[in-house]
Parts: sequence; C-alpha cells; structure tokens
Amino acid sequence: MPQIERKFKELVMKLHARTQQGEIPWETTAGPDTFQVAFPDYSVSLSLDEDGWKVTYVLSIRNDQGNIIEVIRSDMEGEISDEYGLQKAMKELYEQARRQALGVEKAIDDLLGHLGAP
Amino acid sequence: MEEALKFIAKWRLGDIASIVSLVVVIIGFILTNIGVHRSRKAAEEARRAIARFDTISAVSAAIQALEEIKTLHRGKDWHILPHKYSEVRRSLVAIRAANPNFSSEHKTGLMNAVTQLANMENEMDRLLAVAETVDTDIAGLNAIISRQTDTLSRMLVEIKRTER
Repeated sequence: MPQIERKFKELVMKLHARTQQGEIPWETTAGPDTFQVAFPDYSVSLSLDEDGWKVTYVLSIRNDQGNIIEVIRSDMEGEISDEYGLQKAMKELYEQARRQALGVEKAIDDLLGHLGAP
Repeated sequence: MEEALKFIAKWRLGDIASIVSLVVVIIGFILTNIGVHRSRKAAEEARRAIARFDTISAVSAAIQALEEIKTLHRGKDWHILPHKYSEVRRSLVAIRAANPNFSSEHKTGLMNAVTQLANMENEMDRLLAVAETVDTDIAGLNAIISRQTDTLSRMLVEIKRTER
C-alpha cells in the first residue's frame, strides 16, 4: 500500500479510536449530516454522500485558511477501501461522530434516568 | 610652568588622567549601551502593545460581524451571506497569521470557526445554486455562530488579561 494511503487509513483509525474514547469534540455544522472537529492547524469534516442506495462516507481535511486540501472517501478505488476495512472504519467513525456531536448518549442516559430502573 | 610640569611628573598626573579618561569612556560606553537597550526594549514593548491592540480590535470586529450574520440569518438575507461568511473567515485567518505565538487552544478555536464558516459558505452556495430562497434551520445556524462568538469572547478576555 502506498505511503499516503497508509497514512489515510492510520488517520481514520486514530480518529476512530480517539472518538470511541470520547476524546474528540465533534460538532454539528451547517451541512446536513456533516460533522467537524478542529485541531490547531487543520480540521476534519465528516459527511455522507448518498447516491440512491449507495452511501459513501467522506472525510475532508481543511488547512488553516479553511480550504479543503484532501478528501478521503470510503469508496476509494484501490487497495485501501475493502481490503483494509476503510469502508467499515469510516462508517463506524461517522456514526460515533454523529452521536457525539448531537449528544445522543447523554440524551439516552437522561431518558433512561427519567424512565427509572427496570 | 616648569614647576607645574615637575609637579605633574612627580605625581604622575598624566597616567592618572589617562586612567580616569579610560574609566570615563568605559562608564560612558556602558551608559550608552544601557540607554540603547532601554530604547530597544521600550520600542519592542510599544510594538507588542500595538500588535495586542490590533488583535483585540480584530477579534472584537469579528465578534461583531458574527452577530451581524445572525441578524442576516433571521432576516433571510441569503444572497449576502456567502460574502459575509467569507469576509469573517478571512479576518479570522488574518488574526491567526498575525499571532503565530497563540496558544494551541486559541489556534484550535480559530481553526474551528474558520472551518464552520467555510462549511456555511459552501452549504449556502450549494443551496442558492438550486433555488432563489433557502429553506434551512435558522436556529441551528445561529447556534453554530453563537458557539464561535463564545469562543472568540473567551479568547478576547484571555488576550486582554495577558501582559496586563
């Protein structure tokens, strides 16, 4: 696998792991179904690209000017998608980011609290 | 005259005068250096104070511009909004460029606001390309803008507090 594609996958996996640990503050954006997180010099946006039955997860990297400098798609042709599980990792990352940005877990905990113990 | 020269020679006043002159020159040199150093320090402090003032003004202006964007959302002035998003985004990029020593937290806050505004500009352009008017969640957009003004306001307080 070329070096850059290895790094794409590493980035997705690290975001996935850190999001799972609740360490990445994903936020909602103006775009429908788009979530973002910023770091000091770059930011990452995650969005959905739906074409009929086909759903593609899109991760965009922006520089400090706000310009997109790289796009990683879960349906990228070539080695990194299916063979290395990028599709699955990006789908999970998207779902985690969405729940985190919308505060889904907090809402469910709150609802469970109101409903009382079983 | 001869008496005077003898007196000077006897007491080696010439040597003493040379030593005194040397001491005076050294003290003068040190005092000049201290003066130059103080002037440089004062100039540097003045430059930093001006830069800090510029940053405070720019961040305050950005907060004001973000508040105006919220009003434009409420008024549904969709066509002017992409330009406004871009304008504020560029001002935030300029603030960041003028302050390379900003903390990681400040840089992240600015990066977040820049990305949100870039996303808003793209989304508004996309919506306006397919329709004359936009049916969107105004409260949602303003909530995003409010988060950015909160971040910038906190940044402003911190900048004002430092170097006071």
